[in-house]
Amino acid sequence: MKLIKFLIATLLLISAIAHSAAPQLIDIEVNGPKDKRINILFLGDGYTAGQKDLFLADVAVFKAALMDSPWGSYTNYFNSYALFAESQQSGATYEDGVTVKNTAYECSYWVANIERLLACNSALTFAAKNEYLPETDMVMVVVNSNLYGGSGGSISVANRTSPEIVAHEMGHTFVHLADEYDYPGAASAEAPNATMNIARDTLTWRHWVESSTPLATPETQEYADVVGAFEGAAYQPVGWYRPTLTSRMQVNGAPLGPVNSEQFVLSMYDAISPIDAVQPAEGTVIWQPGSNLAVTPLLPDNANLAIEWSVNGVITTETGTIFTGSNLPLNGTATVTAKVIDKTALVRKDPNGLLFDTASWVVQTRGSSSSRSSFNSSSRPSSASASNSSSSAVVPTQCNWWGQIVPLCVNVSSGWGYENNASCVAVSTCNSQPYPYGVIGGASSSAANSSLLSSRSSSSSNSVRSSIAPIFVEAENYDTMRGVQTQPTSDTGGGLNVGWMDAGDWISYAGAKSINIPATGTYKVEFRVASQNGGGSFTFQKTGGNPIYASVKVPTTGAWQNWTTVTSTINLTAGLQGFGIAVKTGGFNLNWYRITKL
Amino acid sequence: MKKNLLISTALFLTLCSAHAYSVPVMIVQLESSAQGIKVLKEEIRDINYKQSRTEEKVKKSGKFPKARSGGWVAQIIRADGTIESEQAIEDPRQQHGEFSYDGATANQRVEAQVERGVFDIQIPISSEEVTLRIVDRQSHTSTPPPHLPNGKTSTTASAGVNDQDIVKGEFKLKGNKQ
Repeated sequence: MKLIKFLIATLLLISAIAHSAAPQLIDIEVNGPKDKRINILFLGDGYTAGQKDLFLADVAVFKAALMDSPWGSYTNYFNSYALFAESQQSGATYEDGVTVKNTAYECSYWVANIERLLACNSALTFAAKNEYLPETDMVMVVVNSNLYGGSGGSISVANRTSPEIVAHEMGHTFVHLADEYDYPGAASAEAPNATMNIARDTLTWRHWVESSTPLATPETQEYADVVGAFEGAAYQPVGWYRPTLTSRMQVNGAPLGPVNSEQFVLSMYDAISPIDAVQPAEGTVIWQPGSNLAVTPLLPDNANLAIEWSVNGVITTETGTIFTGSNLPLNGTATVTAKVIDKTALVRKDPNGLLFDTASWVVQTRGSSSSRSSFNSSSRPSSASASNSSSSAVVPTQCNWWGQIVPLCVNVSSGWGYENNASCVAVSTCNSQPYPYGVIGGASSSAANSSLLSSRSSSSSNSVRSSIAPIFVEAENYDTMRGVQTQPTSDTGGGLNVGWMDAGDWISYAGAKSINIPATGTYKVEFRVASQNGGGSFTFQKTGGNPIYASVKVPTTGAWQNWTTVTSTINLTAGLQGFGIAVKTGGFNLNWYRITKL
Repeated sequence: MKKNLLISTALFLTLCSAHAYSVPVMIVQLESSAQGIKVLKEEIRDINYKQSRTEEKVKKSGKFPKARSGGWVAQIIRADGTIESEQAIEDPRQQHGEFSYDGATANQRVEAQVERGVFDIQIPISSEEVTLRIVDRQSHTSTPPPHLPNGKTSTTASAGVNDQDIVKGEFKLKGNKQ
C-alpha cells in the first residue's frame, strides 16, 4: 500500500513538472524596435498557473507607477514586457514567517532576519532576463503577496501592493540618483540630486534655482514648492543638500521634483535617440526628380519637438519630417542635415547634447535643367551597384567597426572575408551595427572618390558663384567638442548657445557637420558672442588647427545673454571641409557664426 | 492629394526602415561571494544592443566617460591596457530596503549582505581580446571647488571628488569576432 501511494505521489509530481508550462514572454506595450526603445521587463514570483491574469493586472499597476511624470510624457519611448513563469505555489517564502514556498525565483521575506527585506534568487532572475529579453534596461520582480516588502539593487523587488518601491529604486539603478534621506554611517557621494557644495554659481542644479531663493533653503512651507538646497541628503543629516523639500528619492510615493525629473529625461535620452528612423539611410544620395529625405522622430506624447533641416550648415525653412529640397544647389554636392530636438521644459541643462540628434546625407544634384521641386525618388547606393553604375555616387570602401576602420568586402555578401591581403567586412554586417558605426559613406579615400570631390569643387565654384548664400552655423551644431556645454539662449531666434568655454576647450564642425565652401575666395565671418566680463578670445581654424583663419577677441557685453556680433575677414578654399573653434581665453558664449562670400 | 500620397509613401518607407539591428554581444554572468567574483557563464548572442549616447559623445570629445563617482563599476579594458568603457553596477551582494509600510515619511533603511549575488555585463564584440575588471570605487569628497568666471564647474574645478578604485576581480575574455 505504501508503495502504491509512493508511486502515485511520484507520478503526480512528474505530471506536475511535465505540465509546468515554459515561461511566456508577453508584450504589454511594444512601441518599437528594442534597440530604439527602453525595455522594461516585469518578472512575477509566486503566481501559479491559474494566476496569470492576476500577474498581468499587477504588472499594469506597477507600470503605471513607473510611468508617471516625467516618463508619462514619453510612453512611446518605452517597451514593456511581462515574463510569466508559473510558480508551483502561490506567495513567497517566509510570508507567514515559517513556510518555504516553491516559486519561480525563490523570493523570500526575512532576508538577514528583516521581515520586510524581500529579495529573490539573483541567479534565477538574471538567467530569465538573459534568456528571454537580454535587451532589458530595467527589471522588476513583482511578488504575489500582500505583505509589505521589497528590495533594491540591480533588480528591484516589491510585493504586489507596493509598486512605489520599484518607482523609487529605478531612480537609483537607471537614473543614478542619490537617496535624499538620512542614514547615519553610510557613505555619501556627489550625485545630480545631492551635493556638499551650495555656492550659488556652482551648485549642481543652479539652473533650477531662483535668485530669490536662499541657500541653504529653510525647510518651511514657504519653500515647499521651490528648488533650493535643503540640508540633509545622501544619508547625511548635515553638510549635504538636496534640491527640494520632499521628493520620491526622499519620501516614498512623492513626486520626483524638477531636478530629479530632469535626470529621468536625460537618462532616457542617454539610452535612445529622439530620431526613430531615417529614409533613406544616411550616406550619399543622388537627388532625382521627386526625391526627398525623411526622419521619423520619437514624438513625445506632448509633441514638444522641433525639426530643423539645414543645407551645408544653413538652416532652411523646412521644419517637417520630410525634406523636399529647399536650398539645394542646382548642380553639385551638399550636406543635408536633419536635427530633431526635444524642447521639453523638463530639462534646462543638457551638457551632453542628448535632447537632440542629427542625421546627415551627402546629396548630389545633377542637371540644372530640372526643377528642384520636381526631383523624386532617392536611394542610398550599395557599394556594388554604385561602383557599376554610370552615376557619380561616392563608393564607400570602409567600415567603422566599433570604432576601428576596416575595409569593406567586395565579393563577400555577409560576415567577414579576406581580400587584398587584409580582413574585410561585408556591407550588410557592417551596417548591422548601431549608429554611429557602419559603412563610412562619402568619406572614402579611393581614387574614384578623390576625383569626384575634385570635380565637385571645381564645378561648384563656377556654377553657383552668382547665388552663393551665406552659410549660417548654429554653434551647438557641432560634431564633437571638448569641455563646453549648451544652454537655452535669449538671443534673437532662441534655441541654444554654447557656453562654459574655458581655455583649451574646442568645438569641431567636421565629419557629418563639415561645411561646403562653394568657391575659393575672401569671406566675412561673423561670430555671435556674449560675455559678462569680456577678455575672452578664440581662433577660427581648419579642423586640426592648421591653418588658423582668424583670431577673435570677445568684447564685454555686460551679461551672459547680451549679444553682439564680431567680424573677421578670411580667405578660404573651395570644398567640403571641417572647421574648429579653439578657446584661448574663456569667459564667453557663442550662439552662431555666419560665413559670407565677399 | 499628390502631397498626401508623397507623405504617406515616405512615412511608409520610413517605418519600413525602423527595424532593429542585432549585433554580437558577449553576455558575461558573474557571481560575487565571500570568496570573490567568478564568471558563471560567458556567451555571445546577437541582440538589439544600445550604446550609451553620453558615452559615445564624451568619447568623441576626447574625454574618458567615468560611469560614476562612488560605487561598483565594471570596466572594459582593451588589450593595450586602456579603458574602453565603464558601466555602473550595483553591489551584487548588497540587499537593501528603504521604507517601512507605516507612513510616507518613514525612511527606515535596512541593509544586508547576502551570501552570493549574481550580475551580468554586456560587452559588444570587438576585434581584440578584452579584460573585464570589477572595481569598488571609493569616493572622497573634498571642499567645494572655486567657481570660474562664467559660472562653469569645469572638469578640473569639479574634481573636488577623488576616487579610489579597489579591484574586486579581473577576467580576460575571449571576445574577438572572427
